[in-house]
Amino acid sequence: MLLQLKGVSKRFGGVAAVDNLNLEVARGEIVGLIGPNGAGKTTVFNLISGLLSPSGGDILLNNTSLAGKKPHRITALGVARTFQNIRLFNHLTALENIMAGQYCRTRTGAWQAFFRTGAFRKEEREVRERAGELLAMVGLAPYRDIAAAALPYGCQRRLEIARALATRPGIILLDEPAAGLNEAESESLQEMIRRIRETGIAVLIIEHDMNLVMSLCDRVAVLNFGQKIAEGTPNRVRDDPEVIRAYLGREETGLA
Amino acid sequence: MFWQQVINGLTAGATYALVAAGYTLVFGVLEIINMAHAEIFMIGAFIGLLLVTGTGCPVWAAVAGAMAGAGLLGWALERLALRPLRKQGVSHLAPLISTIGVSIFLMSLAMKIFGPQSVRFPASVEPRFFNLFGTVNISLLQIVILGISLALVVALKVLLARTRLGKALRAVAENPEAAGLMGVNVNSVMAAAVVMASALGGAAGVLVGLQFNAVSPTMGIAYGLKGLAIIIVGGMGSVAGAVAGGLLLGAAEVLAIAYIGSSYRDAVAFIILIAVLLIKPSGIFGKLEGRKG
Amino acid sequence: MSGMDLLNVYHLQIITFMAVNSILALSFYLPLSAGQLSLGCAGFMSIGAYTAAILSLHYGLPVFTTIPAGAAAAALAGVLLGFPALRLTGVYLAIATLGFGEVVRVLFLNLKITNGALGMPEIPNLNDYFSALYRSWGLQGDLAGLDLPRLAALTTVVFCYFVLAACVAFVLRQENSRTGRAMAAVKADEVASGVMGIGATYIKMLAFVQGAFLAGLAGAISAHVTNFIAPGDFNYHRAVNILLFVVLGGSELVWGGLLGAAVLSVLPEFLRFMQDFRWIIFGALLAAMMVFRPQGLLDRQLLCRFSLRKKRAMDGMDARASSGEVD
Repeated sequence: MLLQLKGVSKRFGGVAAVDNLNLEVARGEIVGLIGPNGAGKTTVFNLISGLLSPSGGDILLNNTSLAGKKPHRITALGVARTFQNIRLFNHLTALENIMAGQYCRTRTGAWQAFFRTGAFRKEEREVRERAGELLAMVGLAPYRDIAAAALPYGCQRRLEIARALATRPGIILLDEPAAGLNEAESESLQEMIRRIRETGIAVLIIEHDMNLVMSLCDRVAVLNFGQKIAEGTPNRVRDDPEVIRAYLGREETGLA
Repeated sequence: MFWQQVINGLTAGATYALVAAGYTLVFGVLEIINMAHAEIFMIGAFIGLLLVTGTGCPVWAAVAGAMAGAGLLGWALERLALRPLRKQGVSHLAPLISTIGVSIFLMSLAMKIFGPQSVRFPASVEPRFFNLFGTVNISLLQIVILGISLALVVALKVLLARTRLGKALRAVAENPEAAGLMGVNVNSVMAAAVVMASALGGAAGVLVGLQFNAVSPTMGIAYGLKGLAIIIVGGMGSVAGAVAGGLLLGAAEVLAIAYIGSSYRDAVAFIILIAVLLIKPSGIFGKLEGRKG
Repeated sequence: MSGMDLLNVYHLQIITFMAVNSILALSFYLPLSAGQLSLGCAGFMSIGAYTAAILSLHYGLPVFTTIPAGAAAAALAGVLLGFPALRLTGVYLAIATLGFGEVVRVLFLNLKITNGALGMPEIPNLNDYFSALYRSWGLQGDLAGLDLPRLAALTTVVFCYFVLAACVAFVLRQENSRTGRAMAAVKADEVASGVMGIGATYIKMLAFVQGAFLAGLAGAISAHVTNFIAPGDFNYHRAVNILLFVVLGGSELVWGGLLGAAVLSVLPEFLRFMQDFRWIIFGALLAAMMVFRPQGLLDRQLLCRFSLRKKRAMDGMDARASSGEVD
């Protein structure tokens, strides 16, 4: 198993945002994480990527515990992510964003840069080439020298995914990647996610667009009030009475 | 000897608390460090001095006049150097730098007008001493400083807790956008915060000028830096923290003077600050990670 | 001979200070390029200056060891301050570093070895050093129309600009490297940079210590240029002055700080007649700058426009050349 969450909990004061969660993701698998708003999905991502540390339980990547490790160490171990509200390095160009993402897979320091050593030039060339490849892969090659903040919204989403891939992850966590995309963009996003999986990278995805989840995911886990209430193939989860109740129940209180 | 030190420490601490309360009020409402506060303090001291030497008015009137003048200066500062920066896309460091600019401007202007040397109050306000318990002396001046400081801090507390303006100030401090939606005029509330803070600073200036019987264009620097250290140690945006921090610093300085030597006095505040940061790594205002679900 | 008059020792000293100020601007720019507003430059500068002065006056060490020693001492202080201070962000860091400068100043004001408020006079001068060097090479009279003091002063200028050039090259090359991209990433979004595998703590410390090193270097050089240092040279005003270089010139780019340092080193000489109003103007300028052009004189857009124009001109030439070929 690539990623394992074993009885993970996170409490803020007295409130359990995530409660005794068990979840597994295998190599090359696409797993959906769904649930009503405020169910604790993003908190799960924050726990896995180290922005929060769990109050209880353990998170394992290739049997190495991630709990309590700093975010950049966890990224180096092979977890990458995107954010619900895109967080690019705004004034860096598209290419530079991806080059920055390769930090933890490269080694040369400032002195090597100062003396323009062979190792530095070689690594810089490789970083640049790989960044170009990733840009092309997400279809942003024409935008390479545009500042990230100046890109159209859909392109920013794709750039953020490319930047995450630049860290050479074993698993990538996508937080609502289709939010705000039109149908055509959403289609090409799905295509892109399938291509990512083909390279052997596992995908854990939070998404509200049920069509996308149903057609893309091998497996879906449903969270409600921080607890996993269902897990299985998309079809099975869709017909699960408790899942329906969770969504409908929320809608009722939402309307009341 | 010990009680004498306590009284001296309290007097110094009371003025620190007043200065720090001004910083903390502005920070709480505008989320800005007003680096010009120290120079408004200094201008307040000069206004008080001019009133006493010019009209021979009593100390309380000089303090009131200084508060009015400093408040006016605070209003101008808000309109000219802070409000124009309150727009989208301006770095949060911009107000810090613009107020540093204003502070340099005011200090050098005072230098030009009053000269670099320090000026004394007329002899009529020289301290008279009362003898307490045989060995302890408290001057009339110290009583006045403690009394006025206490009155101002209490007044501020009451204003924040009881009045409409206080409610609006707290609402803006909590969330400017929400307060705006609720019908609070955010711009004028922010201006009010700077005016009130500056008035407190002006009062402190007169009191400090009396305390050391010296008013000079550079008198603000040390007090400004100490005030800043106090609000970090005492908790940003908290008036109670500013008062506690001010008194703590007054006491610590008096002890440092007694046991180490008076020349290190001005370093005490920042040694405390750095020590606090070392002991409490996240800082006293350490932010919690965002919680979203 | 008016050309020669321009090269008098006094003018050469101003040109030297331009280099020292430029190094100071870099020392402020470096932490800022990783998102850290540090006002500790004056403090680090004083550590560099006093270290160099003490080592050369009390221990008789030669200039070429005391200057690196001063920079190293400042860098060490940077490490020690960095541990508590870099837990702070934004304005808190600014205050803590400003406070650090104040503590250092009070310390130097009170220590016996620094001669307290009286300062340290008769620090070995770079000009004298180079004069002695030339004399030891057997040079007595003029060389190419320059007498020995001028030649030595000119050598000091060349030395300072050589050091500055090395610093600028380092900063520029670092900016276009893995480390520089990490600094820019931390500045843009510290949380996102962590998730992208960048250890923000290390990167911030690196930028902070590099800044301290450069400030110490500038301090040590200035001690050996001015002959005399006192605690008052490194006060709040000095800290603000360094801030002003970068804010005026442009805080987004290395060249901005260098431009600001150059302008503010020379400007006072031209504004000599209004010397008394200098700081009044500077203060108003700083505040106005934040209102009207917060990014400073020089920014990325301006630079882009320059390079674009150049590019377009060249493209045009290329097109003409190729069309000529077809004909």
